[in-house]
Amino acid sequence: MEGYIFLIPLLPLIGFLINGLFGQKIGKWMITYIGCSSIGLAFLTSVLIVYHMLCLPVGERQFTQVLWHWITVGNLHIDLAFMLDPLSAVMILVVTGVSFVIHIYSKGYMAHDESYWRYYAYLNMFVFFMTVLILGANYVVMFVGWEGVGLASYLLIGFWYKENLIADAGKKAFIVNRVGDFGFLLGMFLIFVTFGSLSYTELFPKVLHMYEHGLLAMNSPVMIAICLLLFVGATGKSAQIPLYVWLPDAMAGPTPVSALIHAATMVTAGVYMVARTNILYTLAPTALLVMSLMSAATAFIAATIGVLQYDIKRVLAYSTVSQLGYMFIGVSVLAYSAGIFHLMSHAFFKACLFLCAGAVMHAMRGDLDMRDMGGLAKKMPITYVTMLFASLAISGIPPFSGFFSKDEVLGKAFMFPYYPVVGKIVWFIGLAAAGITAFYMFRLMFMTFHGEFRGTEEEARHVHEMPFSMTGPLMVLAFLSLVGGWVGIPEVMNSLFPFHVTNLFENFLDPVFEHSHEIVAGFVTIPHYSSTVEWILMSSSVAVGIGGICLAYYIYICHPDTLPQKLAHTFALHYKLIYNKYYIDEIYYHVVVLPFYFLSTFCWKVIDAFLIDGVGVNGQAWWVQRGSRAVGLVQNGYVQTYGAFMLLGLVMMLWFFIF
Amino acid sequence: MSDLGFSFSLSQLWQIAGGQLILIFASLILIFVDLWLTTDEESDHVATMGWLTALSFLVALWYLVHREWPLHEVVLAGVFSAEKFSVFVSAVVLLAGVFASLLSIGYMRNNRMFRGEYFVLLLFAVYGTIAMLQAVDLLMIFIALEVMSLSVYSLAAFLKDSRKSQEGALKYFLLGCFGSAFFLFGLALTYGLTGTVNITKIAQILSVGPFKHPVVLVALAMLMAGLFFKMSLVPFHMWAPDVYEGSPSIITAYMATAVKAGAFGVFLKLMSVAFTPILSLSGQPDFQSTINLGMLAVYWKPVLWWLALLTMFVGNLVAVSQQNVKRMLAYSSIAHAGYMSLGLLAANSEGRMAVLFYLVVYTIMNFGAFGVLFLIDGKEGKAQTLEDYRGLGYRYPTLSFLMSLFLLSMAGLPPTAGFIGKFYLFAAAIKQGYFVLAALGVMTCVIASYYYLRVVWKFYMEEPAREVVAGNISFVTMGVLICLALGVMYFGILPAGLVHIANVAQQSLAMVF
Amino acid sequence: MATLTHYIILSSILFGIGAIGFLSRRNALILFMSAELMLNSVNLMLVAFSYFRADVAGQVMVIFVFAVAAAEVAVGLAILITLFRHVREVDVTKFNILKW
Repeated sequence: MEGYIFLIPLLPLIGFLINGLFGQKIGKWMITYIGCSSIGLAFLTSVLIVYHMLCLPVGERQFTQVLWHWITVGNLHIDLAFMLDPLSAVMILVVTGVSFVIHIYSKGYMAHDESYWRYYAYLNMFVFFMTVLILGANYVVMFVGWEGVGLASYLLIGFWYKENLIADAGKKAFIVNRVGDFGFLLGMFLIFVTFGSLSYTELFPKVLHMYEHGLLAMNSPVMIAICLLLFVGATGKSAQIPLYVWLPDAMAGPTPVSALIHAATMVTAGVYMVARTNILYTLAPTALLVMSLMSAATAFIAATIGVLQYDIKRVLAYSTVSQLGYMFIGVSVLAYSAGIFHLMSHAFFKACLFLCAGAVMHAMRGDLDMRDMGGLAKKMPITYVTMLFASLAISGIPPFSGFFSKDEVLGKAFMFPYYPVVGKIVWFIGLAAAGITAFYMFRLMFMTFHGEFRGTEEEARHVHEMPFSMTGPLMVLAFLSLVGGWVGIPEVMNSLFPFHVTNLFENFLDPVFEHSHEIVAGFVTIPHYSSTVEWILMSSSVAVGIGGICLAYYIYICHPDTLPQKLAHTFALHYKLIYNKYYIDEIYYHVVVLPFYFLSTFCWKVIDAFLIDGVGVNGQAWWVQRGSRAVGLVQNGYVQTYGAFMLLGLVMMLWFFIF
Repeated sequence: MSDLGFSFSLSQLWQIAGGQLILIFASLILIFVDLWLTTDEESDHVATMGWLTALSFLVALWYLVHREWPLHEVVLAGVFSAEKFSVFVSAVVLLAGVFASLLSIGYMRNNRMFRGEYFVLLLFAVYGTIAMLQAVDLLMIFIALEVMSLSVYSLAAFLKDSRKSQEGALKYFLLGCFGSAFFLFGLALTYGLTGTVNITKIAQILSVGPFKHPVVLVALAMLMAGLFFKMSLVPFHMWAPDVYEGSPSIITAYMATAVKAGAFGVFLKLMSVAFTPILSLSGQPDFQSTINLGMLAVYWKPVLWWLALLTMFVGNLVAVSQQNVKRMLAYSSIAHAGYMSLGLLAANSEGRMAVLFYLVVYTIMNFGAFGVLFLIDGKEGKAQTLEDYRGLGYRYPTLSFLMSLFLLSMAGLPPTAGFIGKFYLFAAAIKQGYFVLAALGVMTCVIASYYYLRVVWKFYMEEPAREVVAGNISFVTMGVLICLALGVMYFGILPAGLVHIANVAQQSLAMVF
Repeated sequence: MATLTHYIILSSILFGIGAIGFLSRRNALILFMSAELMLNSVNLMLVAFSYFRADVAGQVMVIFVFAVAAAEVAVGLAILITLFRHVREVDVTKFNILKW
């Protein structure tokens, strides 16, 4: 079966080539057919291969397929090779599956776009590079995919390039990503220099061997450097502090693109990369410490920013940043499988949320401001229900998938073996962010789907449910948001079921991470917590989630801002309540809104807009431009200046040689 | 030169310098063909000349690959050698010549510039470059360098109606003389010290004698400076943007690739053989002492370190603010010279292999980019700025796609050949321990990707600013461009074959005597 | 008695004069001449080496350098003349439309 791995990237590539080269000539129906079927077949291939893998005993679940020898430098051989092990199996299923669903959804969403062919060509190209990224059996092949998805994302963000703002968003994404890639490349070079190999199957056993024989110390500076450099790459691709700024702007692209690339798949590449490199990270506790704190900060800050946004897609964008923070918390507290688990469930519910937002946007004729919405639930019942499922999932309400994955991440953070105290801090920040997440998601739900419609008459007439090609994918994803988490039910919940459950997901991934667990077990004693503690942790996260929803309900359903004064007069009995409303509004305003406002304004304006955008990203570009002009001035067109520089060069060389 | 008692036979001359002889005969014949050939259409005349030139290059290439590559006795009278290294670089130069002559047919048609002597000059330029590469004698290197340069000066000035072309050529010429004088001064000092101009003998004599004598160092510095000029390393680079902008686009491409390949090749050969311990690798007892030349590395390596850094930075940095795409490519070619000097600096077998590999890749992608550039241009200078490139992706999808591919390759994005080439260069530098330089170099690549992608951006993501009419796209031109594009992809995906050949070629440097 | 060192110093001084002339004069023709002076200073050195080493090769080289220099002048003057048709000027500081 492993002989067929190459088909998974090849099929989307063929789709890309056909649509890209002949797209203008073959007609919409054919474009859709080729675009969707290539991904569908890739998904089918993945399913068959993974099924084959599941039939094998645990120890043999690793396939590699070497296509050809690609680069040879001295003793370094890099093959164009693909590897499928449980980790990439999970990723490949998620990526091809979600892509397939989104390709189908796009048929309806992009139906009236003039560059329909270009859209499908880019989307297929993205899937091609993403599968290369996942399946690559060494860092160089991963880097090929890594750059390629960046290119695809750049092209798709700027898809409607005719508007300046959109075009700028594309450029911003690309530039920020290149900064991250710089870190990735340096990390890769450092790995090559230190260990002389970039292939997973050679590198990891070698590292392990060196560690076991005392040739490589725990937490050695070079390991910390490698891990942090790779993490810089991950912060670019996966939108973490300080390089997350491109993601909210990336929402300028078509919504299915946001769902696929900027929520479900590409942005999780960083998490995948860290999980893939788990042995190196496990050997660099300091790097993990830095990462865990930064990702917790990302999770929290992004969540607070989400509270103040009115644009649905921006809320979801910040929410993605925040959820990516959770995934990084997972991988940085040594709970690699928990991070990947959250990655998977997030792919389902966030793709669903974005597609629902796309449906709403379609119904509202491109308007995304939730202040203009309200009461859409009646007119778009399927969208409403599916989005509700996804929102419950992201809020961590059992039995939805988000509950299991988020709970596992937070629970593992609480038990961080290397730095127990930091683990608890991270857990607490994560918990707070979970509450905020539930709050802003339901704020969004209530403002959009409940209450009265606040838009214009014309808009109200236009609102309608979407065709089946769009609602179908929504239903599939909503279903997955519900059941997706059931593969990872923690063992502590055994008592709830009449039959024995095991954490299937963790067991499946165990072969990939077992060496890391051994290293940890050999280095520190893993703290053991009783099941009571686990239950308390679990119920606290559920409680926080429900608390957030209730708060949102209280503010946006019980006391919407538009509640007419008249109502208060008519129902005298409610005076008290209205008074209370004002009272609570005041408290809400002073205790919740103001601090939040200041906090989120601070985060948004100062950290995001000024420090990161201004000084960091645009600042660099500014300096490059200035430097370019300054150095260019030396080239003044006078032949004698040129000669003088040559002579100067010669004299300096002579000076250096002789003295 | 000092030893005039060499045995000399015509058959040996033909064996070792056959490629050069073919080119000389071809150019002499073509002068007469140009005079006597009468056609109804001027463009047919040019096309015939172009095809004949390309054919001569191909014959020479065939001779080089089939007859000179497998040779065992490689040195002719202490003047020329046909070791695999020179044959490899010569083949690159000939390949560039083939591209240049075929693309020139289209270029001349579009510019209404029907002059047959152009091709004769091109033949002489290629001949000079090959002679320079095959020479093992400093004086021969100098003469061949001048043959090449003089032909290229004339080609650069070929647009008689364009002031830019004349001005660029004059600057090139003046600075070229200045640079040659440096080289000649170094040559004279070397001769004075060792009494010979044969590079292997120089190595031998220097290594037993006072190789740290200040005069050796002065000679080394002067020789290096002369070659740095041709390689356009900062601060010897300043002629390059002006000349590249002014010259006919195809000649620019030729200068940026073949002339540079020649300069890098000769630098590698001269430096490695005469001033590094490479000959000691051959195992010949005569050359064991050359191991001492390793001491010179403390002098030239730091210099090359700084020049490589400066070249990468200045080239990429200044390219960012260029509005003229041709000039931008000129700066980018300076930056590429900087990347290649990483391989020279590494001075190990990986480094030399990487330089050879990169020369091939760089020739392919640069010719591709300039080939598209002259087509979009129509007539020289009509549509060269970034503004002109706006929205061309829809008007000229094939041209834009090809250009994007070549530029992405130059930016070093996988899976193109440019990525592999850069990878080898940086890997070689890292292997030799130049971490800081490699890291800074990668940083400049980030800057580079900005300005390359800006062109791609203009193609696809902006609305046309004005009507741009590309020149007539002939079948030949398109065929060449598609071959180049396939080459970029092929060496990006399956580089192993070329790497193997380049590796064999670089090993032969130890056998030049 | 003039020793080899004297010749080397003399030709180095001539080389330097040539270089300075190249960088400081404005007339393109004088720039040519300065470059020629640089080449000829090297010729002087080659002849000196040839004499003191009692090796004829150095003098042969001088002939080659003469030939090269002559060819250079031919090409250079041709380029200068075509440029002169555009600019009507031999002042090198006027040749600067190509810059930055």
